Amino acid sequence: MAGYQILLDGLVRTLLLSVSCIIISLCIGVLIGIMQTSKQSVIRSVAKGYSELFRGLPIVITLFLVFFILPEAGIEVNSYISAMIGLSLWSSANISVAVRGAIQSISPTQVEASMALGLSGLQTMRYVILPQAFRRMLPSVIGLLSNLIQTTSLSILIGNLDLLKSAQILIERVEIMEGGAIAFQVYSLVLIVYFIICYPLSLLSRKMEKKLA
Amino acid sequence: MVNTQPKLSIRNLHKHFGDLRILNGVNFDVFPKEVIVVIGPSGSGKSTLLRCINGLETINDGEVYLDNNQKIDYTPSSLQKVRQKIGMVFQSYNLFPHMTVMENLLLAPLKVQKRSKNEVLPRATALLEQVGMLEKAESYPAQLSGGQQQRIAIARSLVMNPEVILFDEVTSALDPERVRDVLDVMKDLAAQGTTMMIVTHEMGFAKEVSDRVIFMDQGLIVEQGSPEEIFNNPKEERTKQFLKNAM
Amino acid sequence: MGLDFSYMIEILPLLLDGLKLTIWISAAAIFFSLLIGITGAIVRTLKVPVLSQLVTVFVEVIRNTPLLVHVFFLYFGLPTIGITLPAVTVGILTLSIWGGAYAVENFRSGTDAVSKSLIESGQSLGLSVGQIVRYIIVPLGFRISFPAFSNTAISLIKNSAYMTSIGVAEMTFVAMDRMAYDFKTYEILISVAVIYLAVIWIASFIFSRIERKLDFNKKLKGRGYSRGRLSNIIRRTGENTAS
Repeated sequence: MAGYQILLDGLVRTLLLSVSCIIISLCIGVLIGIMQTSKQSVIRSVAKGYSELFRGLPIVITLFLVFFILPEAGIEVNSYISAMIGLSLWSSANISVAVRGAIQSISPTQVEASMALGLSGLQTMRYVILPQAFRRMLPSVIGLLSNLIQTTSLSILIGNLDLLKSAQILIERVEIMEGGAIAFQVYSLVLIVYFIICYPLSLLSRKMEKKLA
Repeated sequence: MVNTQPKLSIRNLHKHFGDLRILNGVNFDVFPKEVIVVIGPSGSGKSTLLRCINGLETINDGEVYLDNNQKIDYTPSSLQKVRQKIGMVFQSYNLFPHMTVMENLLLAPLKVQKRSKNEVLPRATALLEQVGMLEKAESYPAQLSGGQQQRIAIARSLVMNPEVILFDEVTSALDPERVRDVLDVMKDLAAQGTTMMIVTHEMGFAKEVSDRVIFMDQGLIVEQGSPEEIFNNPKEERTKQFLKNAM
Repeated sequence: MGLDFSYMIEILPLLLDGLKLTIWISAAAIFFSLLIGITGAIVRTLKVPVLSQLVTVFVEVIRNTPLLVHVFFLYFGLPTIGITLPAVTVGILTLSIWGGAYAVENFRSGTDAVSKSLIESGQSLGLSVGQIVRYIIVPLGFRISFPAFSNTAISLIKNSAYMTSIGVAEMTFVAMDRMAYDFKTYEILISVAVIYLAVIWIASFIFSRIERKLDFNKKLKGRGYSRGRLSNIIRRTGENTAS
């Protein structure tokens, strides 16, 4: 029964990593998304460059880059922190594009109306644009968060311990100690656990999309 | 009145969507070469009537007869045959946007009627010529104005050699200046003896082109007669009221 | 610390050799995803009984579970029940299944976007269900959804790097292998990153050319491709009849 304990520990670590990545990438993603709609071309280019770079690179490569290059630059990070940084870079780039799309889908007449009322640019963004854009981007952002949760499993490639790694450990332990092959069953269980976490999110995303349409 | 067997007979047609009753027992005949214009307030069931005849809506009760009192069988298997005989032109043209004008015209004759390209091509070319769209044969629908698309939609329906063509508010979606082009094409067809049933809001055109006018309200035919009778001496109060508002 | 450029040039042929396998796996996966996607979308649009539900289950399961777990399940899990597949086969298989599930959704949004009134127009011309699928829903749906599918295809190229986890000698694996020998972390990782960005950039360019080719409005005054215009036109030519 110790096997379940290993898997449970792994699941907790997967959830922890997911939640921290979700919080970070939402904050950065919204910020970069807003920057992409900026009137100042420098801000816009920096933000676009960020999203192009981290959306263009395979997430596997981003994880390796963070994990191997930060220490060489004198910043000591463990696997967990590296995974958090790498996944957040990738996911925030994806989220920023959804945010930009939602902001740009708001009719320019809304901005004109706000200006006519004397609202500042920042106030227009805060009180008029973002609340409307928020509703529109929610379905796709939830979809991206589900992707993020699934992709945390890649962190095992840079040595992080999570649900998938725990499954590997459990399988190896049973094979060595008891000589039984249980890989099929354990990986099936892992699939089911991920499905239970992600399926409600995709249902929620679809429901919101329908509501908007 | 043309004195022969009717081409199309509608008997006691009923249609409802759930509790909403759209057609409440419609009866009339369409004779060969006749041009019938159906007028009436919106929601009176005019469009639904055409869609029922073409089998796009299922009929809840009543019958439609084509050619010498053959009852039309609206089961899915025979619908294809029905539609080859009854053409339809829509308000929104509904050209296939991924096909050129000529491909739009050729699709059904080649694939449904299995006619040879050698036979259909000259006919399609002639029809495009007739509606004044021959030089657009290789264009895509999105490159054309609404009026041009609608004239092509009419040609697409004609190339099937249907016995009757139904026109469902074909000018309602057009810019006012394009309406005339489409109406002219329809007038040409009427002059050539095409049997047509037209739902329209264009009263001037209705007067000009029709052999018989049918006024519908609340899913029933209120009054029908020659354009003179209906437009100059309507008998029913509802017809008078409608015409007063529409003219 | 400066970059050792001569080392980067030295390992370039090695990385490009790995890139060959990356491209080959990706191309195969894109091809099979396309097949799965179109077939699945037709089955779902036509609401074929049983099959349609099976496609739905397939799409939901694949989209809501991690690709890496699919890889491990096929590579490490299947041998338990007596099925052993070579790593490259597992790579192509998992990517095709994963891409296929996303492609079903891509194409279904396209086939669904073929408006009811266009289908009616086909019906009123006497086209059969099969003919409507073949001449209207598939060609039009494919054109509408190709931009969405090209995103899936680009993801497949990037995600081929997942196969480094089961030892498929594609570019990422070659790079990691080299790093273990030479410890030239900066040089190798930056080279690989640049090559990936270039490949993705070229692939995006090719897909956008195909999109333009597929766009039946391309001849419109030589203007570039725009998704907005396409959907506008679909909407315009497909507006439903009122009253």
